[in-house]
Amino acid sequence: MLDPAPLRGLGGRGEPERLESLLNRVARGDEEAFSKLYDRISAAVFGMARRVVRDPARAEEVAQEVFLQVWQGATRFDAERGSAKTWILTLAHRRAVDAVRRDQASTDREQRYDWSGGPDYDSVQEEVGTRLEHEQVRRCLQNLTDLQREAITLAYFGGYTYVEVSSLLEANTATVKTRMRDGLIRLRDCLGVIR
Amino acid sequence: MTADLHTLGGAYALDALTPDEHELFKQHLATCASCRAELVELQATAARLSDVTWSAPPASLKRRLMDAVSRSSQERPVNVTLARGPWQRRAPMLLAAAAVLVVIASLGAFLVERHRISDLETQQSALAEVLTADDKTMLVRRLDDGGSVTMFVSASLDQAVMAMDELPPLDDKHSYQIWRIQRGGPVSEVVISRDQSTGAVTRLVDDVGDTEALAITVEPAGGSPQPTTEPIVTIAIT
Repeated sequence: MLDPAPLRGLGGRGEPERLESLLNRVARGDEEAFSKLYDRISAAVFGMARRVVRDPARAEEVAQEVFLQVWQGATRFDAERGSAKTWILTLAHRRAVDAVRRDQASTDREQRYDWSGGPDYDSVQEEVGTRLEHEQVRRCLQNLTDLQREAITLAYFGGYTYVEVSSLLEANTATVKTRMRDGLIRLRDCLGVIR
Repeated sequence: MTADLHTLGGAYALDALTPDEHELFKQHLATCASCRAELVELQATAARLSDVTWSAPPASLKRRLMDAVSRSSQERPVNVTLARGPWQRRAPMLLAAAAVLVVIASLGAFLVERHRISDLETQQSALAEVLTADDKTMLVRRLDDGGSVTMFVSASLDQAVMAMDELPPLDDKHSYQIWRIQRGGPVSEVVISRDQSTGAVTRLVDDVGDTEALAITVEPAGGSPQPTTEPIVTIAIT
């Protein structure tokens, strides 16, 4: 059966239509293309937002804002600066982090953070098309030093600034800043990310 | 300072900088081509982290969105026809025929040499105002012959900042000239003198509300009343 792998986020041969091409159609006001784009990338956006903001209702709000921003601003997408997936997830992460920092400004964020371990693997919807990417990222995260991995995951999934991460890990701010960069570079090389 | 700024790229890609440093690094990006190139890869890497948290949203979200989308307008696309097409073909004739509607005096003309930014506090504060505006947007264009141009626009301030980095050097018979593309055609914004040592020029542009795009051409030294060559770059103000 030729399943179009509707939730698969990466381009490649056999895909019905590249996300970049869908996004170009969205920029021209094509609602059907928007619907397809949503089907392909919404689980990545919503799952990340839910992990960062914790509250599913808040995560839905974030995802809704992100997709409206994609609809309204699709014309701003510049393929020279990365893939469509990167563009959308960068917008989404920024919004999720803004939301959690706003919401948590007056509360103790250490209490909020779930210390049970890495990302919410149990809650991940294991779509056939994503399992490979998922496993690759998990494996590559394991290749990092503990400090690199903790700094990156606390920042990306916890929404913490590097200053907060330094305090949580009881490490020097300059060190944490550096580990975030060299950790991402190591992750990039492990994942084979070109763009 | 610069070496220190470079190391902020990882935290920036993870949205983990403090607000002040976030803006500082964005400003640094405008003048650092290698940082921008690295950031493209680091952001793509950070985006991959979302592969481990996939979770399908409730179906009601899509219904709400499709409903919202059918009722909401989109931002204006890049006006390629006016800003780029004709220039690449019969530019001089068309441009000469175009009526110039509005000439806005350039009030904030200045240059910032990136290594002497601290000496230019007044200018920097005007720049910083745009760079830290809540509604600012950033666009980067790489030039075919090397170098890049980054534009920040704030609709609320009605201002843009154009940061040109590592533009190809020109001989002394030529200058770069910035044009506003308006409904009536291109209007000269300024003839820019380039800092020969770094190739970096940052320019504040006021009153961008009626401007569709900014473009840069190579003109005879001292500039031209109308563009005589096709632009090396055109950036739409959306």
